[in-house]
Amino acid sequence: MFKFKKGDRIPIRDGGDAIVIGEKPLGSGGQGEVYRVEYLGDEYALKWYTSPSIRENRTEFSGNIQENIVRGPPKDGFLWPKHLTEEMDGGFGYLMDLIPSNYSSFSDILRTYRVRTVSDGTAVRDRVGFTRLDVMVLSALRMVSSFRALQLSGVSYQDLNDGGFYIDTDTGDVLICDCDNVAPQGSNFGIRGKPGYMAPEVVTGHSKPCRDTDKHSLAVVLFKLLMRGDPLEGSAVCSCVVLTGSNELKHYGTDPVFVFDPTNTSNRPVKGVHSNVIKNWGLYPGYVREVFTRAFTDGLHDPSSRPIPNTWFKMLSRLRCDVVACGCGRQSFMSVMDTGSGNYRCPGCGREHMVMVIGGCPMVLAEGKEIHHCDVFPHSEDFETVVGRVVENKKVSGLLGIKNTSDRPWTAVLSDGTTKTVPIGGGVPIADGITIRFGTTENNFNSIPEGIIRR
Amino acid sequence: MTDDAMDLLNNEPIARKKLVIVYIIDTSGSMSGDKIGTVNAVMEEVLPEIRGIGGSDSDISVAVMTFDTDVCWMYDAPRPIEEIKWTELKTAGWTDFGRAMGELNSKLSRNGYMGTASLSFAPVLFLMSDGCPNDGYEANLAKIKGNKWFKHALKIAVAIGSDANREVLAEFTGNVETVVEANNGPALARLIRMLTITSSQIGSRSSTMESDGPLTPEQADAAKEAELVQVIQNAVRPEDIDFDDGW
Repeated sequence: MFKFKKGDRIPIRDGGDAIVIGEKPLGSGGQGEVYRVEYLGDEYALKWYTSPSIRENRTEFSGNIQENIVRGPPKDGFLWPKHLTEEMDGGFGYLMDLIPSNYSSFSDILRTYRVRTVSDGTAVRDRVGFTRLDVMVLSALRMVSSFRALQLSGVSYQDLNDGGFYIDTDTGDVLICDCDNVAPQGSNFGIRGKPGYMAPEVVTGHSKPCRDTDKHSLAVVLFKLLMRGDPLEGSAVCSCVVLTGSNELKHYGTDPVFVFDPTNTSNRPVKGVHSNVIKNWGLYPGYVREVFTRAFTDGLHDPSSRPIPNTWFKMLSRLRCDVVACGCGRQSFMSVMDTGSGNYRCPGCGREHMVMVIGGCPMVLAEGKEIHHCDVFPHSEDFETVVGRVVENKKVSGLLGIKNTSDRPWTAVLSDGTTKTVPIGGGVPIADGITIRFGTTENNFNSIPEGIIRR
Repeated sequence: MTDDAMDLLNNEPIARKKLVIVYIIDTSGSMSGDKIGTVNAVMEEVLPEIRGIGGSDSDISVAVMTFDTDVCWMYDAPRPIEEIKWTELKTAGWTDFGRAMGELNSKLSRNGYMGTASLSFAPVLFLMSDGCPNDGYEANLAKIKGNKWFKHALKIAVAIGSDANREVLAEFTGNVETVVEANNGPALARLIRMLTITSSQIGSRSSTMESDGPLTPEQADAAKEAELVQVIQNAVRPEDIDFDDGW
């Protein structure tokens, strides 16, 4: 049945044994089985390879994992291999940390539910999903940031797909798993990839997974996260009824057509089947649609046209700025609230929101809105640090202001030209005509970015 | 636009490919005792295990046909994997394989079990038998071979014990390598479990490089079966003892 049972011991190269502690594997996939084990007092997940092709090439494959263990993850957020096992019966595996229970698999997020078997043996569906739009965009930012770090460290992931991500839908934290195929530029240890995520040249067999093909897979992952559909599955694909191997080769390899290709309308999403993408595509701002369109038109055939992680990073940072969570509960993007006359009105409750314009980009100042370091400082890559937050004044009910949560005082320039210092922890009331300079003269005033508040 | 039409967080499950797994199980008299006992026990256990397997790729449903002198379906239509409850199979009568093929042919159609607006994976047809057909099966088997769903289907057969007619099973799968022999209870249980789990994942999991160079449509069509064959070859164990020996 399965390779291991509870109590089995697997010798680890670094010394000692890992002991299987679960009754059944945590999972099984294309390459192997995953077990819960205990090693030197800590719990880990053991991935044990059952794939014949990996077992045949086990010296190279395990050698690469060992190099990855030594190299370490490029940053936090990776479930990285930690210890290799000794060989047993011609097989081997490695230990990694367990996925904390507050994370949901990206597959379940796309499916919108998790299947749980209850005590009487029947299955129930637990809803899985984001409740905040800004958190969903933040999770995409974290994915992209992790892949950027991975690529900058000179390696590629090679098997990017929905099974490799786990997300805390409350916080937007992302864990990237299945890092065993990560390999330096020019190397591939046998992995091809998962249907729907592979770049066309991998599907056709013209190329092996590499950094360029990762770019396509990342675009697919992001499209699925934001639009909740497949970028290449439309009417042309559905008309083949059965997705046979040759149909897959055609629609994902030799002749892929983006479902929103501006010039080729042969593969549009099908009403009643691809409802999510039909609904969501138009709700995203134009600059988001442009990047996806490039990824899935020119980028399908020309890897150098594919958006690089940094392009996605900039797009997603801007998108997060555009998120509006109105007090009435509606969450949307500014483009949906744009009245066309420069004002932003919630289509739900009709409330008109003030905005702050930083570097030409407006940001709606609804209560709770967070302003991040990278939103203010043009070349910043810090998308985690919150430098300001829209809050209600504790003494004056209904008065909204921007609280300085950064590490330096700001300067507020009032409409009559007078200036006031905004200390750390202090705030600026939101009123038409006020300009916030995110620093003081002490920090070289000329280079300090500013935000102009207007109606 | 309505509220729902503007809500980016309120989405339907991502469109998944339908995958119907059809079990075609011989319930003739010769299957009585341990053989059907093992089938019942392992099926009851393995179906809940594949509930989560489809992930965001496939929407799995299961149909169960039994054939002896009669042909029956456990449910009127394929059931979603999360809803299926195994009903214990009983044995009696002859092995009317030809009738089974006739019935299967009628259900492998848009008007039968394959009607869906969305895209499908080719069905999985999983045959288990321990004997020889008692009816003239040739005409119905020839007929079903012209069915396009059947042609594309991933076909597996388990020959239970040494009396099973492997040639007929190979005629069904179209490939001797996708007929696998189970000569005892533990081997039967292991194979049903492994083949169920594997066949439910093929096509929607990461694959490895099997060859260098461009892929032809023919190779692409044969890839899933080739993957299955590899799994089967990996699973056959020499310690398997004869099912018919010592029972």
